[in-house]
Amino acid sequence: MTRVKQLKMESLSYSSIFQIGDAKEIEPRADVLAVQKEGGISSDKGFELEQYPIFNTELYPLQDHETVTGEHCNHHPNISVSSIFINGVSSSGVVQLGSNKHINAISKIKHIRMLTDNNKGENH
Amino acid sequence: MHYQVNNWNIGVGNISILGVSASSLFIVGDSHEIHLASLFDTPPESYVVGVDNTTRRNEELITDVPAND
Repeated sequence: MTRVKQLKMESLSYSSIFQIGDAKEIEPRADVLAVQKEGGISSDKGFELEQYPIFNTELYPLQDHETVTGEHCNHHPNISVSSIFINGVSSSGVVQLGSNKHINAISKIKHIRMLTDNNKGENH
Repeated sequence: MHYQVNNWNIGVGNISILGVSASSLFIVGDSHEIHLASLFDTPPESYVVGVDNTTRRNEELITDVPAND
């Protein structure tokens, strides 16, 4: 059992999960396309996720080379924490107070910076 | 492989974390199986200097796929 006296979290965003208690499966997914363009962007047209290969990439799970068997002896069932401070949780991040069986988190992030030509040589 | 875990008293004072980001995990408890994957494409690779092809792309989308209008 997890005992936490106090937890403060400033922000939680983009498919992130804050779980209090036990869970069986946690599977957050996040596809993020961050575009910064000089002069600003008026529309998200032309920035469809499908046209970037990173978002179509399929990730295959690593193969289990070895089966691990074991046993847990909970002499003292508690994990106690007096205080937790977390500034931010983002992009399929997981914060859990408790136990789970399976976590499978995937985040795909692409950044694009578009500068006009007269800035060449600056802004590195 | 066989292993045995003895959970005695676990007590932690204060935890301070700046960020849990991009498929990262912070857990106070047990987990049996953890898969965390993250794909990044960030500058400098993603710099586009002097070429603005978004306008052209907009036109393509509008003419080729009317549903995008």
